Amino acid sequence: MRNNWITPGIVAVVSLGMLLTFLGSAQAADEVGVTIEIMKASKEKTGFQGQSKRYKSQISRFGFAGARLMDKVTALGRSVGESVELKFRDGGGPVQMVKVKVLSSSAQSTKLLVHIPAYRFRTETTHKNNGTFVVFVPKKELFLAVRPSRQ
Amino acid sequence: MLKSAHRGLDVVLTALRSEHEELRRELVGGAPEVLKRIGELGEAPSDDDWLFFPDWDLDLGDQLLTARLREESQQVTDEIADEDWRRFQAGVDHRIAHGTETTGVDPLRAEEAPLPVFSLLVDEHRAAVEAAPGEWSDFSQHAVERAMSPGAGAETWAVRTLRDEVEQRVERDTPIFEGPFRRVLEDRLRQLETYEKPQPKPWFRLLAPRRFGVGLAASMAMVVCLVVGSRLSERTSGYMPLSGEVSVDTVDFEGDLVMIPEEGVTMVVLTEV
Repeated sequence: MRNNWITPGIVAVVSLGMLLTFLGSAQAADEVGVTIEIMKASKEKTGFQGQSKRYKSQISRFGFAGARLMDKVTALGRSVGESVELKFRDGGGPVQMVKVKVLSSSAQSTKLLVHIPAYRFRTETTHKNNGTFVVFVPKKELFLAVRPSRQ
Repeated sequence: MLKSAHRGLDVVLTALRSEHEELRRELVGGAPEVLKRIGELGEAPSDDDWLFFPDWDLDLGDQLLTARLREESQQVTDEIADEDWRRFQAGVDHRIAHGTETTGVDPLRAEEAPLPVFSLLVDEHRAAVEAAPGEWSDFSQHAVERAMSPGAGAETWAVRTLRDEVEQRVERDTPIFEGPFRRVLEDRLRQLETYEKPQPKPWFRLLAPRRFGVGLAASMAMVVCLVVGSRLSERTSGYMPLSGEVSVDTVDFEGDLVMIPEEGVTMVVLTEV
């Protein structure tokens, strides 16, 4: 008798999960997630720490023996026209910023505008199947990675 | 159950050994000390008491030495150490040699020299005490009979002294020996009968043979969960391999750059920043 609440509880939780999934899929049609990662590479044998391991092959080809993730931001549910920003410091210099704007989003591809004002760098990229765009700044030993995420 | 019984028996035996040792210390404190003191006297031939020996004035020596030995034996209660026994034996040997020099008596002939018999009784006494407390009374009786036997050099001062001491100790110590020892034994047996196996603590049950399999399975399941969880964590935290396609549509940059398109990732190298 004391366990009579278990069955209705499970039904309620499952129903709530299904409802949230349905609402999420309805919104995902024109929304996209954006992830920005900033990694500091090193010539010293410090190894690739944490999530920088994902870019080990790309970073290693420039002679670096290690890297670490300085900062990362993941923004979910960004609609067309919305932006994601991540500020960072390249060494002891002033605070810099990476700004990513969603130009278009569909089930096939996502167009992004990547802007780094301090470097006067601006580019438009098209991502299919969540491909990653990486900007490497040799003098700063920085790797900036941008990728959309659609489920 | 069998292990618990063995464990309880070990406890009982350990306690009995301890009790036995204490009782033995009490029981052997008297007569061996008398023998030791005789040996010490033997080591000091210049002592006044020793002066009676060259003349073999047994009556006078018996009176003086017996009185002195009885007085000293009352003051000693500790166990006779092996070193004391060696000293006593050395004293006996010395007395044998001294007696031989002064009297010309062959110490190896028991009929003429009481000291070898004395030494033999000491050895037997020591062996009996160390063997088992239950044999103490039998030995003491045997020692008395042995001391009074015709062929053992009886009626000398030393044998009489030993005989008296043994008789006293048997008379005095037997009830002590049987009483406390039996009570201790009965107490320990009662403890053994009521001994209950202590229940292990819950965490300790994992080490029990029957529980070991369950514990091992639980540990393996935990390891599997940790590995799977770690893998899932990697996947959800960005360790998935790069995939997909990226094309660069437009670039606005004043300096030189190098573009490196690859599967899953496109890199742009800003060489002049």
